[in-house]
Amino acid sequence: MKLDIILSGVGGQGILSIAAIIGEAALEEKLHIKQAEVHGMSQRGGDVQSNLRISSEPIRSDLIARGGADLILSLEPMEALRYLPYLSDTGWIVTNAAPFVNIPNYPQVDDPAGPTETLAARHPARRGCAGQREQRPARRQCRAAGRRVADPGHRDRKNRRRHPPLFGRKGDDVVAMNLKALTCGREAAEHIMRKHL
Amino acid sequence: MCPAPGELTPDNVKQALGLESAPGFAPSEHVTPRPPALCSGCGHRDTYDALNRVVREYKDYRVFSDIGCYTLGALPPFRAIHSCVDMGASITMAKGAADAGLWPAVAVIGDSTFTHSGITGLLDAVNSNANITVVISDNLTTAMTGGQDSAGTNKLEAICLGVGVDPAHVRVVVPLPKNMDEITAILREEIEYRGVSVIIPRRECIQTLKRHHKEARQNKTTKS
Repeated sequence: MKLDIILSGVGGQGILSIAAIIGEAALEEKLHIKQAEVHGMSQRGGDVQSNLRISSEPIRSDLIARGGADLILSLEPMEALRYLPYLSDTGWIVTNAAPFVNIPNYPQVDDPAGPTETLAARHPARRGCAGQREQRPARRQCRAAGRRVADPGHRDRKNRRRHPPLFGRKGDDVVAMNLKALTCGREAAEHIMRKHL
Repeated sequence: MCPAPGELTPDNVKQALGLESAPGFAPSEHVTPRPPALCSGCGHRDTYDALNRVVREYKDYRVFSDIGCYTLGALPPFRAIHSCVDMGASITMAKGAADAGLWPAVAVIGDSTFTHSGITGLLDAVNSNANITVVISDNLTTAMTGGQDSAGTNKLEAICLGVGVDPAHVRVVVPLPKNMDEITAILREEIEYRGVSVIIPRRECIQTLKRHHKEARQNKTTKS
């Protein structure tokens, strides 16, 4: 088993928290992981990505080659597209559809999910998945992570046990909100997988 | 051949070894650069505002910087710094430039980086009475990596005095727009001073400040 994931978004959205959730889930399953450091600025509004590689066999490179990613999991639509050259022919893009506009020249697109939808239409093998537009960032983040948790290799029970310590410092309400988002994400992922796979 | 600058990636290593890379999809036309920026309300902003006003009065000046949030001062709108090499290099590069005759030679370093590897350079500068101005932009935390404690908090002046900086030239200011006249006057004075001077603009990181306010509110709720 081998899964190469590019996590992308804007600094401060929680890319590394997602990497930690998925990484810990993979470690519990006795899988190998490599996670490359973020190439950007944490919490400073720049583009941020993390290469996360999971495998049943030892992993050598901690970076994903062009055309090698099985999944781009993004918290922002334009940031999903930034890493398009790394997506494999059979890869998926799963992205939040709400744009994070903190630059003056953000592309003028009528529908922010449009480019990913266009891509999906052009390449039927991959389909953009628009997330909820009105969610608060922490929930969006866990919703996205939850989609990955729905992978049959990652048991929810274990992630629930793992989950509270990650956000424990931020208070019980934040933990509860994230667990709820995780469950929603899992349901969304199962729905997509039933529909498309 | 692997390219000399930048990092080794699977793609450039493959190319160097004569292996084929997967073509991948073409870059999307809907993507524009999204550079990081200093947070709104960050004290480094006011420090750079003041520094830019003063150093631009001089013909030949260089501002050597270091690794931290304040490295973002290289980008617009500030364009305030000329270098970022490795942790601690701000002070040692300023000293080297001053030794070679450059003036003003200014170093900008954060509080955490200063205690990591700036102190040794400062000691060296003091020992040879280098003509440099060191700005230790103190936000009371290691902000860039998420707000961990900073080893030098509440000790910076004592450290500077301990390595031998003249007490008259260790100056602390509060980087806020309302203090701009005071900060620029002090910067000008210390650049004009021929020797090692240290200016410490000190104001808590806006991110940790928010966090501390939130924790205080939560504690208050828990108690009541």
